[in-house]
Amino acid sequence: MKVLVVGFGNPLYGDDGFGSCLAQYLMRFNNFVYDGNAHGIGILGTLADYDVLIFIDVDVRLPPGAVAVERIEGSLTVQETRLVDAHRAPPSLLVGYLRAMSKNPVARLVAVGPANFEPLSPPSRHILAAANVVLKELTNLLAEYGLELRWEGDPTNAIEECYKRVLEGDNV
Amino acid sequence: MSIKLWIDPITRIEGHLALYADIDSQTKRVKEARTVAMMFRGFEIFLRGRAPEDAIHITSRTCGVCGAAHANASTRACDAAAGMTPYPMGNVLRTMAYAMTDYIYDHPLILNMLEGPDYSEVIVSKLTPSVWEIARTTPTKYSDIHGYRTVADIMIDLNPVTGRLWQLTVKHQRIAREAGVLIYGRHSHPATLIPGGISTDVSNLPSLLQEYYTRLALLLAWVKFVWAIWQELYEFYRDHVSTPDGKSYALTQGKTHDPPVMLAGGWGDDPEIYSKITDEARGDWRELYAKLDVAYNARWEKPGLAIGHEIYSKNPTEIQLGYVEFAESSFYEDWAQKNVAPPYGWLREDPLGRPLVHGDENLLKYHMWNRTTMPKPGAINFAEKYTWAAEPRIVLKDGRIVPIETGPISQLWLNTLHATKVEAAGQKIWESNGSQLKIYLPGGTVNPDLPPGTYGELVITWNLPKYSTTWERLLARAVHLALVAAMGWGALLYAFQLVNEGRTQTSRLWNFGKWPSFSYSFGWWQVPRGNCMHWLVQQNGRIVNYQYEAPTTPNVSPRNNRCRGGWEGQCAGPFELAALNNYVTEETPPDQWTGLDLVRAIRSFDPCLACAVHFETKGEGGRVSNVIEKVVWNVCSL
Repeated sequence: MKVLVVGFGNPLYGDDGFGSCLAQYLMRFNNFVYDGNAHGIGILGTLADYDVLIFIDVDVRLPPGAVAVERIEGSLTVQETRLVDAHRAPPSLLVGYLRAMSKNPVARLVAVGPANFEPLSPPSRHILAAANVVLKELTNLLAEYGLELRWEGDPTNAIEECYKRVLEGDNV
Repeated sequence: MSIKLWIDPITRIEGHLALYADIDSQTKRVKEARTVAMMFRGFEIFLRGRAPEDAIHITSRTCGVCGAAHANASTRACDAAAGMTPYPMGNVLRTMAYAMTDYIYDHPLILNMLEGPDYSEVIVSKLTPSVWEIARTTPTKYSDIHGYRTVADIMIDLNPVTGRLWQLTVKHQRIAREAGVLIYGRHSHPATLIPGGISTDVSNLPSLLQEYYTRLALLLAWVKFVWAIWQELYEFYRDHVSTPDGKSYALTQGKTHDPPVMLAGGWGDDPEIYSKITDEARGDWRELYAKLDVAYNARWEKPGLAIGHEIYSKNPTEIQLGYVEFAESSFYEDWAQKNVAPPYGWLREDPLGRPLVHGDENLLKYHMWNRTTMPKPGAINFAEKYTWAAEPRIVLKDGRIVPIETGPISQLWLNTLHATKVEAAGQKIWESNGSQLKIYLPGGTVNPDLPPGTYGELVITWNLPKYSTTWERLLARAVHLALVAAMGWGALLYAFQLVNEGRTQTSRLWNFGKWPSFSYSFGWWQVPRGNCMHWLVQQNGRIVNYQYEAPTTPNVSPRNNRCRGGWEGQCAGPFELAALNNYVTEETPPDQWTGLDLVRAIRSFDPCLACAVHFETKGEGGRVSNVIEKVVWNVCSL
């Protein structure tokens, strides 16, 4: 089975960028991790190649810092598909599109409750503290498919550095 | 009875454009049409005070689709203002990347995913059932290339999401972007474009070129396939579908100005000539400016302004002398009436000493080098101001003031009227004779997803139409897709030739932040939606004024009363003209009309207004939902 871990979000919008930054960190050690950033339907073609998709994203239904393992259920018909904003498609919408395209990936989500979506703000302490819990849940999920998640160092520092790169332009 | 339609948003993917139309239910004729850009677009305001080279990357962020378009136009403006252009390999890499990331990625996406659904089975069979019946029994002419037996078979595969064409497009747009990213580093905002060069890592150039080739070979088959689909549909709507007054649908519906006013910037700098002008100018930006018309005319696609089938001028520095923008019907203050000059005062001449707007004292303040963006939000009032889109016009030397159309059709139009031919590294790319254009695609292009008819050589012929109509614009985009793929092939061969000659240097030596004490310039670059145009004024390495036209800006212009010399009755952008010149062909009762023909007319331009998008959606898509399996109450973070 082909498995892909996809981090989503935009670090310009506070905690929204958590999934993207964590994915950037994990990509250094794992070739099955992908940074979806805010590319939205632009990565639909990439996702179409996989049997199992595990997303990392925020979920506003959760209290700040709480971590949840979710599964994405249901499907869309053509009448229900709609392209509203190419950059802001949540995982559920992308999975809906894939299923409408006759692809049927298993879709899971490791979600974190955000504290702050303010533009240009750094990650909240709640979301940073959730990083290790997210990694533990990801490890468990990936083990179901015979994959081992690897990383070195402190993921919290890596996420903070990711935000600095984006907000302060260290890499420009 | 009048049927009034308000369609918002009209764009299928993103961007906020609304359409108001008033239709006579008896004659089915559109009586009035207005388009409204619903959101503010004002990057110019925060560009002032920044380094000119930053504009390449800031303007790129105007849009997630046209990112490379703006970056390239801005790069040409920076090249000219800095007084230096890349070495030949730099120019070739710039062309190879752009052929992929915008054109070969974007044209099929626009055709098959954004415009195609309007001609799919689900729409055609529901709204125009008689057309569907004809399509079911109409055999195809190009089945040896696309493999479809009837026109209806194509329409079935154009169904969104489930259709084979929709899904093949998703796959191939990714391949094109991968090829472009080999050079740009990323998409849609290129990381490697710099004034006078390109910063792509060329330490293993043969490998990069090989990676590009493997993708281009697949895509050359793909463009033949896409062209055959749309040529087939064009001929079907030309020969088998009529409007209520008995005329050919393809030749009349969605017509724009009469005669058309076609503007194109050209793209694909000639590797040698665009490099040589820097050597000849010896670091003097004015000298370099004086050679821009030679460089632009040497591009592999040609610049110019045509009125009907006559070329007004082939020279961008001459055309831009009369390029003005008004704010009568749009939500901006009239900066000229308010006497708000740019920080350097009113510019009166171009860098060669020629008077702006041909010396007209009243109008020169509306030239782009003199414009100041001053937003003035208000309610929509069709008698006064009703849109955020400004009003570009061109003042001609004889005093006429004309509206502007731009897009793939305008680029093919100018290529054809130039009556010339373009070759690269011994490969013939295209040639024209004033009324016809021929494009030469290479063979040996095997793509396992497509019929074998796409594997061989193919010559595509395009005849210069009399008017721009909905279907002429769609066909032009498909033909243009083939042309840009041929350019990508020519550029790749040229790159191999440069490698063999050992000429792999890409960029001029440039000290960061070193600019002339004062210089001004412009950069034009034809892109999938039209001519992307940037005007730059810099002083001591800081932008003092930056104005730009997004590719859609001339097309989405509202009406005003500024046109002169025979254009007074059609003084609006092509969107409004195209929507106005329509009959409703929907076969449903008037109270159920959806405006299909009008949206087809406007979507044929690809009316992307992502540059005005600032909203977002969160949440679930339809019946797909996230089910929480377990929650970890992370004590450390609560």
